[in-house]
Amino acid sequence: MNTILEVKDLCKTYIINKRQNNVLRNVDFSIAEGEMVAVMGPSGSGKSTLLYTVSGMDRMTAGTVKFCGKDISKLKDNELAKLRLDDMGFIFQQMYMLKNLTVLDNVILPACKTDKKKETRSETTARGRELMKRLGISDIADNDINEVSGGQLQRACICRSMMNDPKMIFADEPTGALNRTSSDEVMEELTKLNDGGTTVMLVTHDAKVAAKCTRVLFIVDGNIKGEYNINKSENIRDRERGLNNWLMEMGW
Amino acid sequence: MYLNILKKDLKRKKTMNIIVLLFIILSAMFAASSVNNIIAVMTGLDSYFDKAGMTDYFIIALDNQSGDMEQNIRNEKSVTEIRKEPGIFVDGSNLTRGGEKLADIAMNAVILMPADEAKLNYYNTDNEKITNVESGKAYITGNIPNAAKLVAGDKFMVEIGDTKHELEYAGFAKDAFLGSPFLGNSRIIMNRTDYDIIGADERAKTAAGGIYYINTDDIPALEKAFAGMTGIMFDGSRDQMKTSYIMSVLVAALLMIVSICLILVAFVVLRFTIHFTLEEEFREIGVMKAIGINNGTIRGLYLVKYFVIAVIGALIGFICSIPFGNMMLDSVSETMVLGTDNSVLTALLCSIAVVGIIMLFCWSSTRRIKKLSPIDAVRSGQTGERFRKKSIMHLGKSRLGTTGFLAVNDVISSRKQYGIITLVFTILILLVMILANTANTLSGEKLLFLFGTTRSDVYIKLENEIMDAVGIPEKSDDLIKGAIDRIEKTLADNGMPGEVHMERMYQIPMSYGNEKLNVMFQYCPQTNASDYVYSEGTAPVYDNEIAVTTQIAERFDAKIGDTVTLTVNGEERECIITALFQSFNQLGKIGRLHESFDVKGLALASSHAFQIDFDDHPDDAVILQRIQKLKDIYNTDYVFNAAGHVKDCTGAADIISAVKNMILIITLVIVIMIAVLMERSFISREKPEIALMKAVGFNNGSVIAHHAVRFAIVALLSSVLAAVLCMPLTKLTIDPIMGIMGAVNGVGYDIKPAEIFGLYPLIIIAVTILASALTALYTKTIKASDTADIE
Repeated sequence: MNTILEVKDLCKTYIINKRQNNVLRNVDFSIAEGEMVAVMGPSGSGKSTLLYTVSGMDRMTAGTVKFCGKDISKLKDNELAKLRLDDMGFIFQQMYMLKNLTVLDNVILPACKTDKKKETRSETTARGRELMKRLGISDIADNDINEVSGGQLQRACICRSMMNDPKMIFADEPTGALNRTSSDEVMEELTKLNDGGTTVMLVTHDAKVAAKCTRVLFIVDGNIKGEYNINKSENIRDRERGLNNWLMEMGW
Repeated sequence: MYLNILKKDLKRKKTMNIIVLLFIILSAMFAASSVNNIIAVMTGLDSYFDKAGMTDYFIIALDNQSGDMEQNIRNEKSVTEIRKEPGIFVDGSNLTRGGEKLADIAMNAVILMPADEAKLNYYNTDNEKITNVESGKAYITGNIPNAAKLVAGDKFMVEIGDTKHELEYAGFAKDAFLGSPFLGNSRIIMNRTDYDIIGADERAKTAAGGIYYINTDDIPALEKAFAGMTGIMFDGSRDQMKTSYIMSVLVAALLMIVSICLILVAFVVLRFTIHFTLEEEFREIGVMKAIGINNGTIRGLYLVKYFVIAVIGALIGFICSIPFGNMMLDSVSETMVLGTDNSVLTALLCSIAVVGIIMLFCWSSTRRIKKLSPIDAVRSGQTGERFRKKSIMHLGKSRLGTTGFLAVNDVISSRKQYGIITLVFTILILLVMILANTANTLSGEKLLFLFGTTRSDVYIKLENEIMDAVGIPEKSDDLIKGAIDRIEKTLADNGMPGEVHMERMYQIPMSYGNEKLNVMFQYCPQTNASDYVYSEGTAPVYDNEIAVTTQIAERFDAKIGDTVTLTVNGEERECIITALFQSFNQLGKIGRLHESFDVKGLALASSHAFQIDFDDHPDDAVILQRIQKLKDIYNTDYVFNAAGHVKDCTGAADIISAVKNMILIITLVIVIMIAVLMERSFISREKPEIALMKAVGFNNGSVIAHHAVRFAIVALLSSVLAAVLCMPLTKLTIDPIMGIMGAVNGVGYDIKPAEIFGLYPLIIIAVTILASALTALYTKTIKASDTADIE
């Protein structure tokens, strides 16, 4: 399988009050097309920073990140924005949306912005509705964002991330603010997406969530300490057990 | 802990706190300076007249024509005090510089007077009383300093008879009695030594006279007593003199409207900002409530914070208000002493009031703290239970581009927020539009009828041609005819033949019932009485028919059809009032005689410009060329077309234009400040949304455009609203002022569409877009990854 994301010697340093804080230290890893990779680690280990840096949402201090063969460190801001718009999808823990738009308008916003798909607004809207229907939230399409539940909103965020048929979806603790039922529903959708061929990289604290992925990267103090491949043919309980054992070995 | 929370808050929310501080400074500055200006304008003229020592009644008379005028005045029982100020009455031709006429001041008289016998208080440009004039120097009042472009230290010559005496211009002096822009008569106030040298000349002795300042307890009795008395060049009451300042009052009244609007703008913006910033605090309020801090303490915390900011802002605003207020007053009080003695105290009180109002705003805005549960507060006061949809537009159904849609949708969804900015912008644009309409009207043809003249191609003031006619009553008619013939010949000789006529003014005692009064009448034998505009009745047709203004009719309690008596050279003539009209001349206290009325032997009181109607009916461009030619031929600047004549007559168009320009600048500064501060606060509030937009692929340009377009929509909406309200509000605000000047039935306004509906809105919109776009550049510092910081 082709590599979609290739990370080499990635460093990210923040200077706070004249003190240097090395959040990521020479991180190396790669993700192949169709993989679903979870990044785990203790709080403050650099998981989210890693996700934002490799997705081009934040600038790296050193190293290279190649997305579909393109070195994103060499891209200008506008080129990065276009890359995020056309080829990447994002899901955040807080399910943030533009508050003056309805749920459906939030979902179709990236599709209306891009020139990737030559379709009319009504076609875009129809596609957005169809996507929401697939994720079981068609009834909230015309609601304001504060009129729906967290789980529904997060599924709407997944719809938004899928609108432009991205090559890869980046998710930062997508289930972090949800209860178990909603969390399971969201993960089910992400898994379906991955099964459909979309590469997924997600950050999570939750072993149950990570167990649904194909691979887990364990990060501590800005370094990847190890990685764990999950056998998807095993049942979910066995996968969780295996992952938990590995995490304990890693000092989780 | 209390102090620690405050310190941390002030530091962490630096941007929003600075924005609030800036708005408080603006509010305090506008409130303090505007209240001072309003007080100064409302009490302005009375307080200036009192300061200057103006009396109830005034008479100007030449000594050799009026007999013992002082005794005549004393004989009147109602007179309680009389003061005489001696003077020598000359005209512009008696003043020279380098052999040339000092100033082209048309037909205005000039009074030479000794400073030591001044019976009024005269003030310099710093509003300090002139108490002494050095020998060889002179202060000048009225329109000469401007017309001659005099600067202190300039030398000029007074030439009268065989005497030539050089004086040095010491500076401009404000003269409450004759110095209004409407009268514009100049006085040259000099040292006694210089006055005696000039006064010793025989010609000067014949021109000597006096201004009598009279206090009385019965003005109508005085008016009646002096009606028709020989030798009186002018008599009038304090109220009449006040109306001569109408143009200054008009400008000052406009300033008052501006001030009221600025106060309104300041408080609307302030209320909005405080409410806006307090909403931002709700999450923290929730956290504090959740950990058990009681409502009073939480409320106190925010009240203390805003009190500290309010005190600092009000103090800075108070300091700034003094030069700002003076700058505004100076622009309208060139000929008046405006300003209150207690301006600092007023400004201080206003600044304290601003602090009080801010605390009231905070008190009302923090009232919700009590009602909110901790979790409501954490949710920024929103419970999710909302029955009215926020989003009205739908991206899927819109034909707008994504950026345009988001901007329009934001404005529609946050109606209160953008509505307030729209209201403020509308007020500001309206201010500029109303002032521009007023300035354009005061320099446009539409007011021509109010000066009692017909429309002619050219208006030219030639003082030398009619000066003799003023001095010799028995020959004045022939002398004017001679002057008209000479001008017509000059026109023909220069290849632009035309007919010339001139409006003359005669002062004629008029009586009706028990009332008797000197009334100024307009008369022109070359035109028909039916050529003029009347508001009621029909034009006089016979020589025993007259028209009078509404004010004169009211003064005499006379109506159309009533017969009044005019005393002409001792002969009583009965005349019927056939029509009423409006006029700015003599502040609306004037009449019109039929062209066949016999005026022989009547002294010409004054006259208007000579009016020229060219035989070949040239277009405007040719008229302008001929105006230039006539300026060269007659060596005068007082040659105008119809619009220029109105501008010259009103005399306030330039001042109003200057005020309009000042207001335009103030408006632009306020628009820039509001756009910058509001946009900055929006960025601060919408940081998560901006980060999210970037995360989903919006580039910096789109985000900046989204923010700038929102303000562009607001500016556009404001411009449309202002354009719609412009005419009714111009009429509402300016008609009463025009009414005081004599146009009691209102006037038609000269609207220049390109300027009013094109230029000003475009300037405001462009400045708004520029200010908001430049401020929105700050969004570049917000990264897509900041989405992770959403709380």
